[in-house]
Amino acid sequence: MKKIIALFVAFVSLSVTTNAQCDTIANYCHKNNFTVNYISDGQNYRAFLFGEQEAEFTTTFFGGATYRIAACSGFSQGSLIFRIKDEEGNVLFDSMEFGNVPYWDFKVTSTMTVSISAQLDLHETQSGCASILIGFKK
Amino acid sequence: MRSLSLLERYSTIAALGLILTACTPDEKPKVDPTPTADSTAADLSNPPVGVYDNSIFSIPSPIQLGSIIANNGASYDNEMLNKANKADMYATTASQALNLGIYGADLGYTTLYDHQQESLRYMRASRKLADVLGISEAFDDATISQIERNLDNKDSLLYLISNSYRKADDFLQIRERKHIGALIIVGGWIESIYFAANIGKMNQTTEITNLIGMQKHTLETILDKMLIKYLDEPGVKDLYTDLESIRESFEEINIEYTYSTPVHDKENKTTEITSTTTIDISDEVFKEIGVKIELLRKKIIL
Repeated sequence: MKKIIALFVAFVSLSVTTNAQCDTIANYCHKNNFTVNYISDGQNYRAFLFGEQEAEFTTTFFGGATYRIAACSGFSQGSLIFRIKDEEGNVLFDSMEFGNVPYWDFKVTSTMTVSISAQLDLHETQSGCASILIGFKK
Repeated sequence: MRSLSLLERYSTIAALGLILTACTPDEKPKVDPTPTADSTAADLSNPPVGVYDNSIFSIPSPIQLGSIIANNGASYDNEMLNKANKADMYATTASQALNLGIYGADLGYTTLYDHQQESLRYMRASRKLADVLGISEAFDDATISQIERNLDNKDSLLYLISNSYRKADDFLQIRERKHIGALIIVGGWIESIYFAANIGKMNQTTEITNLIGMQKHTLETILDKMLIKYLDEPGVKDLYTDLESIRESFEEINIEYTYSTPVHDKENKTTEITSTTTIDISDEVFKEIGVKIELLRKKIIL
């Protein structure tokens, strides 16, 4: 029984540690990649990734707007690869083609639905909290 | 040696899983470094955190939707807003969360139109609801003071407000209260769509039509990815049913997309996305969406 309690305590405390780590990474990512010219969309997109796992979500880019996407995993810039695809699956941007750049801006002509996916750069890290932030230019 | 019971085995696997997931990102894991998504999910036996659970979703920011409305030339109309002094009326968690989202959109709207004193009122109303929801960290004294000091600086104000809502979202995700975060986001979305539909009644420009039309996809995300996961939480099922009815109207909208190769500018870290979307929405459907959103909003703000 004592063993179970000890394992349960370890389970809960490590769960809190992991989440707190994700929280710190999101704030680090925001601080290092956004200036006051970009307003956050008010959401944090994050997932704990292992190996080749990929996290993906869809969002709307409104025509005439400029967006900044920042991607972080850990406290070194460029360890998370992010890709943007349109609704037909065409790749519009792949950060790997630009040296794993931690952020990039997108000028959007017409309102559209895109999917944003993130994957760890396995040369840098094998597991970690992936955090993606979206901001738009005022 | 005594064999481990099922519960002990589960606890051991779960604790080991968490030990692995709690490594700092720069540390190398101590087991097979490249497990597949499927094997990892199975091995960890559904831990409370750690494995990507396909629960990431994105809803347009109320401040961004508000700025599209403001840039469209619509004049300021405080009759559209929920009353800031109604915060005490919201008794249930669902109602408090939805109205915190609504106040967030109202706060963005008053700020975008430079109505500083009203912004302050909505900030205080938001704080009141954040307090009862247990997320006062997002609207702490330091943030409120910063906002008061920056009342004349719209850019800083918008930055601070959006950051407060981002912190609230983060706080709720960490504490496994994601359903409250989802309701705040949906509240903000409902208020923004209400603004757009209301302004569209007087002046239905292409921007407003596109803004409403693209919510077809957003509503799919809200229903099929967000709320569906929290149907057992109080207040969520009713909201889901009401939004299902609004989805029926959105299904009448036709959206056509044409791909065009994007243009990258490496030096300025910028990509120009030139693909185009055509949105076809009849006047009847536009009005119907407006009426349904207004009814739902009335039900929420009381």
